[in-house]
Amino acid sequence: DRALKKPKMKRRKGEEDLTNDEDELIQILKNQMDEAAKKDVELNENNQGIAINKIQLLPKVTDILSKANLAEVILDNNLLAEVRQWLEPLPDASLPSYEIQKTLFAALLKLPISTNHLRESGIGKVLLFYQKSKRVEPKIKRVADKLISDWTRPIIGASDNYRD
Amino acid sequence: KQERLKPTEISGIDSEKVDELYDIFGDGEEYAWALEGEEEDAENEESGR
Repeated sequence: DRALKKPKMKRRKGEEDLTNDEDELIQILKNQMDEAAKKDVELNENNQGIAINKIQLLPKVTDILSKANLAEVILDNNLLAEVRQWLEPLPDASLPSYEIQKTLFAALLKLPISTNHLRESGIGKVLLFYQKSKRVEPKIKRVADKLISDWTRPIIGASDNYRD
Repeated sequence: KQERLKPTEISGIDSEKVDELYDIFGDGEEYAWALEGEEEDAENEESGR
């Protein structure tokens, strides 16, 4: 529960107005991603055709995730929790579309993700699934392997650099 | 402090770090349900043809 007590931000005062807008942008995206994921789960559960809601929102998600200047805001607002939700297998055990996997794994490679972000989002758990599953494309699996080893290193390495 | 059995791939590191790894990556049970069918599919493919 160290993660929960983590002070919210270390941004400078002058940036506040700007970051509030950015925070809001990410919060809105989080809600949209959450809603799309839940609708897709429902469609899948009821056998009502293709889970299309995530695909429809994907261009916007891709756009925001590709903005390097938003990386800090994305991580601080725990957007990774929704990234995790999008990567989860659907109720019939099928995986999200390859386009979704490709986009989200590419974003995970670029974001400066710390151990605290991992603890908050639980994204490591779904990554472990991608590493184990036999249905994952080799390209994606290689990224999953790399991310898991990148995220493991600071934990088993020097004893106290995981705090940052 | 009680000793717990460590998976082989992370043996040799102290228990605090092991706990932290479990915290981050889980114990693999969370999505195990979605992996179950894969074993069956693989077996069917091997024995089926």
